[in-house]
Amino acid sequence: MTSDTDAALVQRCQSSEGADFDEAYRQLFALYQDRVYNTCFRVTGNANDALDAAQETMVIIARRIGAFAFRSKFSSWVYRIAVNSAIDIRRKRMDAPRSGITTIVGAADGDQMMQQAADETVDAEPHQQLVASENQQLIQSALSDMNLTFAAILVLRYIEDLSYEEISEVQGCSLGTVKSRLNRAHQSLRELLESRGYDSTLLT
Amino acid sequence: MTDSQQSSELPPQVIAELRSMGDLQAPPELWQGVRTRLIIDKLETQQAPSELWDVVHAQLTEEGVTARTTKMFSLRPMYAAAAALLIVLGVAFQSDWASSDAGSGLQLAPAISAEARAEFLSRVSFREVQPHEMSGISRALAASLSVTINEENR
Repeated sequence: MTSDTDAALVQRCQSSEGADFDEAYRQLFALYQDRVYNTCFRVTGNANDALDAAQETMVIIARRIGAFAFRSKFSSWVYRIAVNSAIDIRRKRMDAPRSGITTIVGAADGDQMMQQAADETVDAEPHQQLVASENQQLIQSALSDMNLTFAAILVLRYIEDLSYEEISEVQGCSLGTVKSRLNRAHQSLRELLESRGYDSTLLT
Repeated sequence: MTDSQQSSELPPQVIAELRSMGDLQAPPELWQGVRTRLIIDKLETQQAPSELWDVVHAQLTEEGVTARTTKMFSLRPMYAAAAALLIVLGVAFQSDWASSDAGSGLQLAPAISAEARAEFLSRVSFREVQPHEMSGISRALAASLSVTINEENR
């Protein structure tokens, strides 16, 4: 997919209505649904919140696409809405009891607990392609527990593979701020992984 | 600072794990949820055409619905009058019963004071009836209220 494809579909959405709009939007949706969902999942840490955040994101895009002025890349705009939606939902859940992988892995003292976490997550979220390795589970639990801005920037940088320039567009900040935030996010991730038993030889 | 320098601050193994975490697929419910909300959006933004009332009103008039509605409403004063009459009858029974010391024949409840009765009568318009003046309906009403009618005064 290219920015040209994005731009063409966005312009179709902006210049049409009714069934024509629906068709153009459906194509945009198909292009972005997995990236939006994945971003929301990694920031929120669970499938239900990810679904809510992704749905909110795609609805906002449909509602506001007519006003999109191409001052940034369309994908950056989409990621910005997705990250903000995921952060909003995670903030709302802050006081609610954690479920599944985060709590259990955080207290894990062995393989049995880890397996229990994975089993419970499978039961709760059957439609998910779940994290495959214990290390990925630990990383996901760290993302779910760290500062929201840091989690978001790690997701955008490494999981969604955005450049610094794209991240600065998504987060609405300077390149210097992006680099500074990434440094602090790295440090935070290291500390959380160490505290959760991540193989220390892999952290050196 | 370059991209590679920045990335080197996380161990390669961690970066590799992170990069492998981008393969989740959106569930089918996502499109269904979004589509539903967009449909609701359209419904909420629809405005009734200005001629809607003219069309509806003409059709109602043609079917006589307006006339029937008016007729139905005209019954309401009758219901109100009937209810008022029943209340008056009830009051009459009670008043009669309140003075049952003289053996008027109606016995509902303990006697009320003369002052209370005078106060009540000053506020309520009523017509007192004797048992022999009561219709079948008013007798049935009295029976439904567990009123005992003394027929001796008849």
